[in-house]
Amino acid sequence: MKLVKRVGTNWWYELDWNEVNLLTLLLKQFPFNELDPVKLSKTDEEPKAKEREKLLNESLVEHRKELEEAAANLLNPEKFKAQGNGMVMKLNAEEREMLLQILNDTRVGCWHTLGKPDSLEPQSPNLTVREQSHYGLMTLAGYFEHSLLAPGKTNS
Amino acid sequence: MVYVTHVFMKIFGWNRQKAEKHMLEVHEQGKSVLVREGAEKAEFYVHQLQNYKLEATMEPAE
Repeated sequence: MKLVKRVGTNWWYELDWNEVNLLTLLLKQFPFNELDPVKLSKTDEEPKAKEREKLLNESLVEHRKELEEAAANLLNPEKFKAQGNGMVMKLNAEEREMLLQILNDTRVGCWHTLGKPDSLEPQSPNLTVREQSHYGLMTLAGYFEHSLLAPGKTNS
Repeated sequence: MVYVTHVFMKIFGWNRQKAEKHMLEVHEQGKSVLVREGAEKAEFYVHQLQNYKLEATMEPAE
């Protein structure tokens, strides 16, 4: 996947058919895992801080729903236009940020599920199919994340 | 790492150089003090960073 054009706040990315299929797979399986609660502070134990932490986690649940809707919208065939040996995907600024968040959510979700390994490459030859699949998804999400942010040759 | 740099630039409006400096601190030291703000603004930034799935917390100033 590569950036082929940028005009103002719109980006056009060219994907070959393999990339189209893999990105579709990633979007269809979102969200990858359940949300884990996060901490607002590691040291502030005041009751008010706990209440604000609850609000943060509620807000993240809502945001996850927005990302789910964004993932569904990105699967709309109108987002893709056939061209050459693949397709061109047009994203506006908001869609691009949402897609980045979806990809990183998937990447981090896989990493958590794998037990937060130090290495992002499989280190054991005895991985289960499920673990291999998680490593694969994590790598794939990272690939698309990097491709979305790569500068490319644009006319902006 | 390019993702973390992008998010810092997006959320804080930093230039690439400053965003990369903090990204490298995170990469090498596991954390970076990103901003010193009042509680309300700090909480806003934590929300924003968590939306991008970056582990962020706010701590009382020493």
